[in-house]
Amino acid sequence: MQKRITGLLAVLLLAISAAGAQTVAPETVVKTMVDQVVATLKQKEQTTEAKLDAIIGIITPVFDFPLMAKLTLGRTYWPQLSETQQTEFTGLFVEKLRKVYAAQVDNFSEQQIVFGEARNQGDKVYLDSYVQSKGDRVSILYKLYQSGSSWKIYDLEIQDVSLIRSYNAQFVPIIRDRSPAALLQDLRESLADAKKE
Amino acid sequence: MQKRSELFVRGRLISTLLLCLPFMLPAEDAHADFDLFEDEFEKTETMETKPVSDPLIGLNRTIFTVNDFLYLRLMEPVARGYAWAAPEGARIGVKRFFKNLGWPQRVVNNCLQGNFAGAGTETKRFVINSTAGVLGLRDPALNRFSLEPVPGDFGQTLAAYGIGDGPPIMLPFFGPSNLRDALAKIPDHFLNPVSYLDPWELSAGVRAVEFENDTSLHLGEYEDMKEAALDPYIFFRNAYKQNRDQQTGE
Repeated sequence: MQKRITGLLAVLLLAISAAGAQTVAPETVVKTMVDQVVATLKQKEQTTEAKLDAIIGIITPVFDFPLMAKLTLGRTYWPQLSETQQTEFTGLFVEKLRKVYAAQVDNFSEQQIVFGEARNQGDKVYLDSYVQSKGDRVSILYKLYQSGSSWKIYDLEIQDVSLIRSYNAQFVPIIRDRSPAALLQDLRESLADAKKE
Repeated sequence: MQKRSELFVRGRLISTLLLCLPFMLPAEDAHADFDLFEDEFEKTETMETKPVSDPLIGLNRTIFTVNDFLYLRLMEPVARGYAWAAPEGARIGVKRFFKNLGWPQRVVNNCLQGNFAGAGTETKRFVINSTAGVLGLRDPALNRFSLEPVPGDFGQTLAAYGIGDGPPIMLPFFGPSNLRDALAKIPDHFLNPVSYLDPWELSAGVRAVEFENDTSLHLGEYEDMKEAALDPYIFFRNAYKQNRDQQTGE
């Protein structure tokens, strides 16, 4: 009897989580994430470091960081890194992005975030948004793709400047003119410099 | 999630899976991710598929270094002092005042680009903001009538007539640009009422106030962008191109 109940419960749980995973729309994924990040930023008694850790925890499942790292190098240059270099590069890239976020945590002021309608772009989904900041409108575009059963962010465009393209423009010349090892070296140095300050 | 589903069907499928596994692994093509984003990233001009043409790169990098120094040591410290002295609301008002004066430039360029609706919107914005908005210090056109500003500059106009952007140029004070947009600053200069202030020292002084006022509303942002970059010169050159390509519909 008890076994049967446990079995039923397991089936029920699976059914619930399966339904949950299928129905999270891309715009909901982004809005939930943004709401959680804003709520974290608003906690005044928390230290910057604690807030940052919480934010990284919130955004990590939503952003496909390993894919983003790959896309910044592209089809031609990604394979020029050895497997060990690829792993190290991904780690350094994520740490670089973490620094970008860290800088924003302290600057946060209560700005209203306005979302547009999600639009289909082939098999991807684009979600427009903007923040009204000091008399200026700053646009932020979230780009998502379907990864398994969930939607994940693979690029951001701030004022029409794509994160992937921006890093691509900086990374590729280093590989092309010097070497993949030089790119890793430059990344390591830039992260070390930032730590010193 | 995926793991749980696997557990659920494990009883029946485990042996099949184990048999298939060696065949499934090579099937995960190393290029699959790139195929999925082929149109967006691999085929576009803004990706580094071939080296970016930047014939003046040596000079450009030098000007970037000088600009960086002047901005961090002179312009931004002044803006910080000014931001300390003047409340943010007032500074936003000043920013809007100067933006309102950009009306002739936006109208002329929207017309030259055949965007007469845009020119009309800009004129409505100018009339409303110059009167109800107290000489442009406020923006009731946007806040009450939802009239969004319609940008328009001569660089866009040239682009609309099929003129390409040309090589990147780092301008002293103004920052990243390209040959087309740098030359386009000349006609736009004559469409700005501030240029007609007499004597020229007054005109230059007012321009400096406009610049410092803008800077005071973006303190620290330049430093943040620089820190996010690996090669700041390339970052700003590329960001300018991406942003302009979007504005000129390229």
